[in-house]
Amino acid sequence: MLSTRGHKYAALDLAAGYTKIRGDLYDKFKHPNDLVCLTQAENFLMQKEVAAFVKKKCISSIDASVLSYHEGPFGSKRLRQAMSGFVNLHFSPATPTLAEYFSFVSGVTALNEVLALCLTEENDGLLMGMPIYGSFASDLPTKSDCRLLYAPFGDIDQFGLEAVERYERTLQQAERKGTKIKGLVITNPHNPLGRCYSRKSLKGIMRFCSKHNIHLISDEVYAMSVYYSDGRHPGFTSVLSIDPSGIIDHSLVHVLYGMSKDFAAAGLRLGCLVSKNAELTKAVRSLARFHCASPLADAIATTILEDKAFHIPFLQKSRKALFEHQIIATDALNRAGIPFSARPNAGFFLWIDLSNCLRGNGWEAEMHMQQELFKVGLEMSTGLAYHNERPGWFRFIFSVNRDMLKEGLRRLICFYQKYSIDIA
Amino acid sequence: MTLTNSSEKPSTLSKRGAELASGPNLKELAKAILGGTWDPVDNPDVILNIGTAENHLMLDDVAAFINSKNLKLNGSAFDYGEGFWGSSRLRKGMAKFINRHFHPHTPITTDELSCSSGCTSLFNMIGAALGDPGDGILLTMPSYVAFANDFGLTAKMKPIFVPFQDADQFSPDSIRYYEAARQKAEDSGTHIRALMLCHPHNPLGKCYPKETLVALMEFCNKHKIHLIADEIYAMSVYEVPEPTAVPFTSVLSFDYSQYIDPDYLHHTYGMSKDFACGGLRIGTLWSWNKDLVRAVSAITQFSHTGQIDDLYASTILEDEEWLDGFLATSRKRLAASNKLAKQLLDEEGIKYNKGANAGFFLWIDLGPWLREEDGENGWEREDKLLQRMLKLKVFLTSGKGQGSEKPGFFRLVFSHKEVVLREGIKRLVKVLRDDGAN
Repeated sequence: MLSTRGHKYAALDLAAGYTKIRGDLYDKFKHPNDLVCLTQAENFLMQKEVAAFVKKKCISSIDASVLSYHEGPFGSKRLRQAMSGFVNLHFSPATPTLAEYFSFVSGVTALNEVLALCLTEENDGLLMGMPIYGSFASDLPTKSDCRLLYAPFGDIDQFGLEAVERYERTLQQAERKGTKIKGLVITNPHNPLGRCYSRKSLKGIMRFCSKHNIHLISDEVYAMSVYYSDGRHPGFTSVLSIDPSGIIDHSLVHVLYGMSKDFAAAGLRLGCLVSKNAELTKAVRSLARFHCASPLADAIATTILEDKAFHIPFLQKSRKALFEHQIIATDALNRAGIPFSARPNAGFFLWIDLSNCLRGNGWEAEMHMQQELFKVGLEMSTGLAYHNERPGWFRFIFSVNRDMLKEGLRRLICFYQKYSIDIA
Repeated sequence: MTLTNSSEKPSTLSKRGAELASGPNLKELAKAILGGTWDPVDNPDVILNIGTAENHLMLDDVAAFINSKNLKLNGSAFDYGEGFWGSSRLRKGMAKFINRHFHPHTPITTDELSCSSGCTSLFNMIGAALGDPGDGILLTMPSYVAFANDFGLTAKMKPIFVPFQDADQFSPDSIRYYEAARQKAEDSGTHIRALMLCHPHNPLGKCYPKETLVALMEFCNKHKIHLIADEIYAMSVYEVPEPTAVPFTSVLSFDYSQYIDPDYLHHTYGMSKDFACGGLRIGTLWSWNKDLVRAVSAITQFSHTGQIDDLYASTILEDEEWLDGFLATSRKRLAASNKLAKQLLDEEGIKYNKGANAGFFLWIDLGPWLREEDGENGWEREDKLLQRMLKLKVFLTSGKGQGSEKPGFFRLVFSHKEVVLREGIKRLVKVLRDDGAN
């Protein structure tokens, strides 16, 4: 017998993705016919490297203090200092960050929950665009009971200035229905579209947030995973790099960052809030007690962030590997005529359009397609989970080893050949 | 025949050397169609080959098995081994396999088998042993594209093709056509020495029922013709919906000595098809005829299997549990690919021979798509169609080279991964639908 809340959490079954029976996973030599699971956005290409560094340098440099309660549950001073230095070096902040702006908890997932609790009342709204990282839907409302409002963009470019008008529309609709919007969440670089916001559009978004006096939460976990940039593919611009004076009160601007993506170290469970809002920082550090990052992980991350001779070439190598794999994927998709969202240049994924393969209409048809894909040994996150506007889109992860990537592409192309209806 | 090399100088070679040099350049041809397997990711620019009969469906399984065995090679793996005729370990494994799966009337023994580097080599040697230059070997129309060359190139046997008109060549009544072809050849001075039986049949993909095998044996016995039974697709007989599909009965599985002098029946098998091990070069010969075996063993030294191939093959044959599962999976996948190929062909209205239940191929009729403007006769038009296929980067084996009686027939190999088969047939369809704008 559980509490009402307990029943609610059980019913959510948020661990379902992990408890699902998948059998053996694909391995070119041992399990050539088993499931190619492309749901986890991890940089599998760089895990060996970071693991080797952790073993060699990080573990060997720890001392007894990592086994104490240490300096508190929101990240050691040295870690916060190291991350501040890293952000100052790589995010081009308008004013250099200080260690006191940084608060660590055990992963950005935990941080999402904490922020929602600190920024919203029950039934208050948080705004975001479509599509977007699917797990916000479990991370933000579960404990806080806030609501998520999704802004559709139709055919306009959500990375352009016109996008703000859609956020405006969705906000107005929500408020008319009695939901108070407390914040806008963006992923920058974007998950799953794999693109970066330009300076101009970030300013537009900041102005929008200022106008309505709402928080801007910029989840920048893929900041260092922009593997290509040119005139048509803008590189990374952090919201921290925009001087808020005259645009927005700096206490409304918050950045999320962590070790899970760029550093291929999701297992460290380390995410941080970067904010100049002293009260929010205090609130987050209160709740950090319940989401304390392990001091061991703290020490490991500190070593990584302090060691420029390691992490700068590591991040370069990572981007190169991601670029190569993205090319393998996009080449194959282009040859096979499988459309995907335009101009991806960041992150670990492609947002692919399999709507030509839908049998029937609506989200049921997409769910059916998901099952058919599973049958041919391919698993990807769905458009439904990512709040896409139309059914039939999937997130294809390419940051897996080459054999798995190629096998995944073959199975996808075969599926597409089989099910796509040519709309000549 | 004028024997000059390409630069018109007198040849520096022997007569037969010059003849070989001036013959078709197999290497060039192979380069065009064997440039690696088409793959949408790894190899998208090569010609998609659905003409060569290989078991692509099972290659990865063989590799996975061998990798899992972690074979640690000793130095002895690199020496000459037991000689040129296949290690005793290999022949033992193969004899056991044949006894388990072919149900021979009398179990065969290790020493009755000899091994060489593939059935191609065997045919070359058997041809030399059974026929003198100019002697004839009966081949069905159609038949395996390379038989004429395998027996003809150096053994110099003459291929005598047996037409069946529209009769069923799997029926015992087909003997009259063999009789007619034999008579015609003998009348024109060609002595028929052998009959090459590919069973299951390549390219028609069907099995001979026992009564036809008996009739063929009696025919051969009557005329003192050697019956060479190549059963290389024996384990690749898969399920099809047609109830009339004939199951496989090996020539070894009944008391053939009632129908044919055992000195005239020879059995060949190999690992290139059923086992998807074409690269290992393993072919086996079984025969009662001691003279034939000795003759072949005298020249096997020029075409014997490598030691390590022998070792891998032995390893495969010895793991009976894995092997039986492998063969069952292969048949299942072949059935599925066959079904898919037929479905895709049906969608285009391309006809194929019904009832095929063995091997890796379908005999398809592209006659309706031959174009008048492509040539004066069907064969020229067929060749033009093949050229159009190559231009659109797809390859199928054309009927002419396979001794087809009518032009327009092609052999489509379906033993490919689904993504390859679909793309291959898609390109074929594109060739057929193309209105000649290229």
